[in-house]
Order: sequence, then structure tokens, then C-alpha cells
Amino acid sequence: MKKRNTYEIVMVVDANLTDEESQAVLGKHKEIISNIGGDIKFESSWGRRKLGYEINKMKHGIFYLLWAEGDGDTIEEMERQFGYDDKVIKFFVIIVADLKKAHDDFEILKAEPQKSANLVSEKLGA
Amino acid sequence: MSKKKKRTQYVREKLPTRPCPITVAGIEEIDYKDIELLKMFITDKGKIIPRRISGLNARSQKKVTRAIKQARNAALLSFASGYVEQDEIQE
Repeated sequence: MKKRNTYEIVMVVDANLTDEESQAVLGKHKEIISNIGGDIKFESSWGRRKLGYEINKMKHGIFYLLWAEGDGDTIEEMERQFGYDDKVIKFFVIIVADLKKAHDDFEILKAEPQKSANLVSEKLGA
Repeated sequence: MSKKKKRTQYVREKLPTRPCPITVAGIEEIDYKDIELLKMFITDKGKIIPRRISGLNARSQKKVTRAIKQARNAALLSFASGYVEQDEIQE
């Protein structure tokens, strides 16, 4: 049996789609992940954001985050499936130590994006 | 025998040491999604500001560098023009 890891998956969907369509894309990939041995614990949406750089001539994307458990084969297959789908314009996967903590931290970050930056700039100014 | 010229020694002035802002602020982990924080450590062209200028200690600088590189790969920061301002949401 392969070692199971905990992953944070960022998935960027084409922003030209409607809400329903992008939710359908998310749902489709969640189903794929579950079918290939992944176990999605948490999910979150970051909404429509401007991208750091153009991807396929698109300047915006809808960001979804998934926190899932799985082994290397799951991630490999998932990335392959992302690649087949034109509507997923970018994906990014990292290993995180604790899924719940990562999810909670993200919710805090989403609510207050300036929080840690303000903390540091206070110290820089002082 | 020629006389040896006296070499002038350049003594680098010691700058007053400042504590690392990230350590002082009590931030332990730096998340690549926290681009508001990361943008303080990149130039307008998107380059990572070196330690001697950013004033971070070795540990924090490594964490920041790693987070910036991850953020670039996740399309949150630009490789060539750094931080990208978000549009104001209309509707």
C-alpha cells in the first residue's frame, strides 16, 4: 500500500463560465478524485480573481481550493484529468501537514487578507 | 628593496541591527496565498528583495522565498511584474 498524504489543491477555472457551469466543473473533478481513491475533506471557493499572468489569453480565473487525502497515484491521475479539461486553466498542488488547520487558516485569510501584512508593516514602521 | 606601500584598510561601518519584522510580528508560517504579505518582499518587477535590504533573518527569508515561488506557480503573483492589483468588483 502506498503512503497516503494530505494535499492542498488549487484549481483555477475559466472565468468566462457562469456560476453554474464552474460549479459543474468543480463537481465533475471532485467526483473524479473520489473515484480514483482520493478523499476530499474540505473545499472552499476564492471567487473570481485577476491572475498574476495571462493563461491562454485569459486574465481572470475562478479559484477553488480542495483539501484532500490520497496517494501519489491519485494525484498523478487527477493532474492528468485536469490537463484534459480545457475549462481548468491552472492547477497547483502542495502537501500540507494538517488539512483542518490549512482550511481554517484559509478562511481567516479570506476574511482578513490584510491581517498579517498589517502586523509586519507595524513592526517595520516602529 | 622597494618600500612596501601601506595598505589602507577599509573598515565597513557596522549598521545598527534591526530585528526581523516577521519574527517580531510573531508569524510562524508563511502561506503562499497570503500575497498581501508577500508583496512587501518583492520589487515592482517581481524580483525577490535580498536579505540585506529586506532585513529578514535567514529563517524568515527562506520561508518568504519559498512562498513567493509557490505563489508564482499558482498564478497569484506574476513572474515578470510582481503583485497584480485585483479589479474592483462591479455588480
